[in-house]
Amino acid sequence: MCVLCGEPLSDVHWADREADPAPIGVALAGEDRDGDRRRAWLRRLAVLRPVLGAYGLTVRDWNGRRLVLADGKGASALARDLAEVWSSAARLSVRMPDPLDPELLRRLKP
Amino acid sequence: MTPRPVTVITGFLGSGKTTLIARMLGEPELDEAAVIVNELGEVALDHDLVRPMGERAIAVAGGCACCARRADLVDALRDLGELDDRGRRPVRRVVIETSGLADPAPILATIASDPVLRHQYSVQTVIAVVDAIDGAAQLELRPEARAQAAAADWLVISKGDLAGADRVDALRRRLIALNPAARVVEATRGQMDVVPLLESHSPSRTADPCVPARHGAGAVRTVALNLDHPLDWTVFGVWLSMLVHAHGERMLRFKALVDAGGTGPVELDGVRHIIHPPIHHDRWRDGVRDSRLVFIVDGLDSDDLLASLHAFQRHLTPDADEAATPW
Repeated sequence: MCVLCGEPLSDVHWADREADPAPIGVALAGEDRDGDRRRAWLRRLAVLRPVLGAYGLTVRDWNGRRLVLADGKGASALARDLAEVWSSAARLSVRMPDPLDPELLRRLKP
Repeated sequence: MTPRPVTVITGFLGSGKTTLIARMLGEPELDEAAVIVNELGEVALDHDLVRPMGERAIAVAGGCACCARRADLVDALRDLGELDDRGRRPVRRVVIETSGLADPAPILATIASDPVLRHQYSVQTVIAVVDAIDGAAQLELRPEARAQAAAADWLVISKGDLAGADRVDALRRRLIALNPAARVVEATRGQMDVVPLLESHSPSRTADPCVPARHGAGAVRTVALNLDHPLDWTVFGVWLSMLVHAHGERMLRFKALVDAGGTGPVELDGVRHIIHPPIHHDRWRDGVRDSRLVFIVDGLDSDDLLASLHAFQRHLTPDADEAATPW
């Protein structure tokens, strides 16, 4: 996936392929796999919350398949995977999300 | 259908790309290969299926230069696929020669992103030819040359017989410093064993770096991180995707073997904004369990990268024991 253009290079984002063959974004047969996928999805949500919060954005789950990003003024965007998370966050936030941003790293500290 | 392997041959103007391809075409492995050339060079290719390719690019709305889709390449590859599918001419492999001033990233992005081509073709190897006479100066002065060398899995030093052993050795050191993830080989008088170049993807020759290591002159540098503690894959995915979104234009190459807590490492390979699907290995190389990350970056600071990765892993890994964690 080109994370800037959002152009799909694969049907499944690279970060959703934790343990082959169990991509997070793909429906899988069996309750165990679905449970693993759900847990991975919720963990990602938990990791994203403080990161996006540093940019004045909130994120919540929508049906276990999409994330909803929102700013403080009511604007929101849906994201299917991490590529869409960052392109949506860049549109909604005044500041470009950047993991090298010293202010972000300072805010991540407990 | 198994995707046809694609070998991309890049290198600066006059570096010897076409000579290398002519040498490759003598191998039985390329009996049923097609060759796509960007421009007609001085060296004629004696081959029955050579297709020209222009540089017509399709602009991607809101897109970046590195992943502008190459329309002529799409046409040429689809045309070759039809030839094969209709039984007119078998095409088991494709060799693409880039222009001397081309950044290979758009070619990789084109094949990986096209909804048809990505099922028919798979870039197996990127080979960059570097001229032993002018290569060092080109790497110093021309960003295109650095991008080509950074994207390569194999770096072939050409014209070593004309340049002399000292210059070849100096260039070899420079190339290893620039792209420690690639393997450097020398073509002597145009001759070399080209079969290994056709067989394997990414020889995975990772460096054994200091932590962190810094190489390279000017703004382009290699940052190699060797970490002996497993990385949380969820946190790492968030971090890397965010980094590539923010700084992909300056990440000429990214290659990693990541200990994500599995039975073997997860291999990742990226050029600019493009991250290829990870490959999961079921065992550790040499029995050593660790994570090795190599970034070839233009203008990014190695300390900043390391501090950021550490902060994400330390503060965002669920249930991480702050006192015990090595981050």
